[in-house]
Amino acid sequence: MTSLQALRLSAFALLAFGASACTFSRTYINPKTLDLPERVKQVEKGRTTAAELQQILGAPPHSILRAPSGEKVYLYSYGETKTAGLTLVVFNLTKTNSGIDAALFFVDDKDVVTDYTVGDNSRHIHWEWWPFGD
Amino acid sequence: MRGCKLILALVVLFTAGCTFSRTVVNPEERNADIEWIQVGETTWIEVLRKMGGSISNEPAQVDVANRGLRFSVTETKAVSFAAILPISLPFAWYDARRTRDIYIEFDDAGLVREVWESRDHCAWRPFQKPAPTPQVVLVKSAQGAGS
Repeated sequence: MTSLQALRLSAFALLAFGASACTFSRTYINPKTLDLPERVKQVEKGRTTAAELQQILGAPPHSILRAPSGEKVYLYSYGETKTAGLTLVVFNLTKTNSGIDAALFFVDDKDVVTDYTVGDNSRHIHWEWWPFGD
Repeated sequence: MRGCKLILALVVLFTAGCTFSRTVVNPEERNADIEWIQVGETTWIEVLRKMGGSISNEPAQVDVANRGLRFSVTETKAVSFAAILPISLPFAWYDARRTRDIYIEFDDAGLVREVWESRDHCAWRPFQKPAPTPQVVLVKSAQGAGS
């Protein structure tokens, strides 16, 4: 191998490894209601009305379900996605973990919030880049 | 020497930009507990109170007309190749599945009628053969569990 060939090979190797990178990206789903778990502390069961609920959360529900018993359920959904990856130009790995949550508010026939439940899937989302295995 | 160069060139050509990517939605729900659900006793509201935080806003997950609720862990595995950087092949191999799926059906009174469950595995195509359609198991019903 001549010195010129060795130089070319070294340059190629440097380029391949120099261009490699780690990738991180984060996406919020329905960012308007992202701080919902914090805001929800202002909701008082048996007191807060449906109108007040919308003021507290700063947005209308994404959908309203009707229970067979006639009770209404206001559904807000939100979440977070974390993607991490290793980019080696000729071989790339990425793993995306996504947590989709719902906050459900149970509203009686007098339009008062009687109970609520808030999901926490998006709080347990980890950064992982290795896509293989479980 | 010439043969080695050719092999090296072919390897670089066909492995350039080989990408493996995997997406998992709600991985924590793989271990969601459904043992507490009692057929004919547990109500729609109770299921939502206990598991509703993991329900999404997708229409398929809240089937109000049929009084059904669905809770799923979905997973996608994708493999793609770039023939010559930065030109990618115009296709990728995907396998997207509900790796755990729970479907709870209610009667007209809003009480649990049946609980169905399936578990599945996502494959790295084209390196792994995709699993056949998963068996959906009737976990709980008024007549007892079956499949």
